[in-house]
Amino acid sequence: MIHYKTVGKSDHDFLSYLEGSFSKTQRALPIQSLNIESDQETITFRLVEIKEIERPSYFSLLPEILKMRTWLYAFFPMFLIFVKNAADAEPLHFFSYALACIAALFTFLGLQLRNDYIDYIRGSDRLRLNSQTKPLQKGWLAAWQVRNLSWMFLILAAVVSLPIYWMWPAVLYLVLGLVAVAVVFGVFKKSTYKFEKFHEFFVFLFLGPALFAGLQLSMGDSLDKETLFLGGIWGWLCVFQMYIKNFEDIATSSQYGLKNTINWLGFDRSKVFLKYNWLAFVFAFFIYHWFFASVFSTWFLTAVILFWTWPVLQKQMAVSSPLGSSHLQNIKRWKSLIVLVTILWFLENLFYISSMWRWLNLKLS
Amino acid sequence: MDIKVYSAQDFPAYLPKLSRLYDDLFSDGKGFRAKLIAVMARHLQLDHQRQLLLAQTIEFIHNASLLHDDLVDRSPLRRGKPAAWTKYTPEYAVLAGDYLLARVMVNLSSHGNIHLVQYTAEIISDLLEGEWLQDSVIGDFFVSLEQLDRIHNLKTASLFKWCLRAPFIAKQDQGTELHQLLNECGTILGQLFQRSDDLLDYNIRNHEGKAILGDLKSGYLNSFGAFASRGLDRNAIDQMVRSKNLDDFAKALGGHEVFEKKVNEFDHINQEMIDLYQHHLKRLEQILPASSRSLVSDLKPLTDLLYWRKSRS
Repeated sequence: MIHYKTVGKSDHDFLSYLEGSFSKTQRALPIQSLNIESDQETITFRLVEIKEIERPSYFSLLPEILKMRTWLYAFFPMFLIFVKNAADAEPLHFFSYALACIAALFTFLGLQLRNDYIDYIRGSDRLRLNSQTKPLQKGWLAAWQVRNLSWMFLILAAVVSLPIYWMWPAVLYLVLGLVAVAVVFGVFKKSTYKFEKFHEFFVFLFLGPALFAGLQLSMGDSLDKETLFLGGIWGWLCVFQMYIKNFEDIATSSQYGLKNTINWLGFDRSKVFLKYNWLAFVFAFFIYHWFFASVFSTWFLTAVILFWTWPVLQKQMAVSSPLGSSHLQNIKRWKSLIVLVTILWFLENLFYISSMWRWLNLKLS
Repeated sequence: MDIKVYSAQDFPAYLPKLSRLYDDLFSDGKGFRAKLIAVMARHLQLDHQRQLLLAQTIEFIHNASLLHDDLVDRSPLRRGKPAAWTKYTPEYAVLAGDYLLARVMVNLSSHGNIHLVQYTAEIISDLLEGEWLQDSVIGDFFVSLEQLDRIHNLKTASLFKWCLRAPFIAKQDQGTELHQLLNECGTILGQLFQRSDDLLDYNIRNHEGKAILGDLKSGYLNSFGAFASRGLDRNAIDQMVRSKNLDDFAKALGGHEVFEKKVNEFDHINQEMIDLYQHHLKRLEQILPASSRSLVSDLKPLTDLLYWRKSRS
């Protein structure tokens, strides 16, 4: 016999059930409701004994909790900035750069976990048909533990950043500027950046130009056009990935009343928007390479990306429903295309590194 | 209760064909939803006129959806008889469906309860959205159970939700907690009814003698089909789609034992939903006034009827 418990927002123990702090031996798992209502007055929980919850091994659990599959968003900018500066033979300040990388990773982790926590508390993770936030939904961790972990990483990031601020005050000004933008956008007030129209600009800024600029400055170098352009391209790709995720859930999140850009556009207009947004991204990618990379990689990479883009766009325009397997297949194709671009970009930079290595060996010999 | 006429303007004498079409359509229906309204009305002490209005509304909406559904699906039979679009032409079937929905709005609005009119219009809209989405997954044999749940919530469960909520709205009882609870209960009943109906396709508790694999042969992978085919590779799904009988279907899954196991697992997840329904009923009992609390005892056995297909003694 399964035990259920329903609590309303006005109940004094509402948050303790939602956060999982109501008991030391039990965990309350929210039941997925098809009656999606934004005010969510009540939530029904399935009560389970913590000892009865099946957990995967520690090695499987840790990557899930720390969302390692998304670390690429933090690591790739570090890699790109490193290669850019190495290729330009800029003097590198390794100590502060290493600290900046650690701080960026901790910040990223802290924000990701906070995002999971907020989604869980709002109930929006139960909206997604293919939700990824398993540790909370399956009861492997309580929400309060995720919240505390999030704070721990954010505090660690702040501590690790202190020497960088002392060495390069420009980084501090940049962080303060970013916080100001977040305040203007109401990111802290609404505790999320995903559910409001045009909030992707903050994601673009945070994962793109701001992150790249911060990494560049923490190397002791000055800002340049290439860094901002590079950050802009990467931020664009990150936002595009977010659009695809929102497009995947357009049916359920529209019913829920979420007002992100994709829901605002609707299914058919979003298809057109994604198409032209992607083509504009490829054009920007081409322009960046035209000015800052080799002629071969400019033409070769753009040609390969366009070659793989064509069937994706063709098939996307044929999808007619936001539910069904053809929509999911379409989403998978988009994700594969994004992965392909990232891999090509990574290989291109590996090539630059190997060239530098050969050049260095020649010099030494 | 004869639900055909609520107002004197319903089915005027100068439209005999429309009247005949109506009689054909309603003659063999179980009228389950109207019966549920009768149960609700009895416990809420609704007068006869309001009960008639509600019963007519839900049956008209349901049957309008059947008229349109049969035409969209090109189903030649309804309740073992020629479907209206084959007997009276597709044009008449569409017009008759529209007429039923129009009468619903005329009669409801004359009652003067704007909340009831608005809620009913929302339900009709949900129903049509569900129909629309369902049509978009015809021929899609990789659709997931979760996606079908979303469709069935709009298409099937919306009417069950209406049956539970509308009598309270008619009585001007608009409590948020009450209506959320009734929404949850209606959703569960709708999902269970749909899933049980889908199981008939695989000859599970098929006391009504419904055609075997009818949905699959029409290109529609229903909820049990989507559940059973989880994790199957493309070849197995191709084999499943080509099934001519239950033996073929079981073979595609991996044999009769696997088929039985899938049915048991499906029943198990639905039993969990039934447990959740019973939990919600306990809460309902707590918030209902003493005068209508006895309603819960009549709502309790509905899952036996709708999912396990046990007739009431």
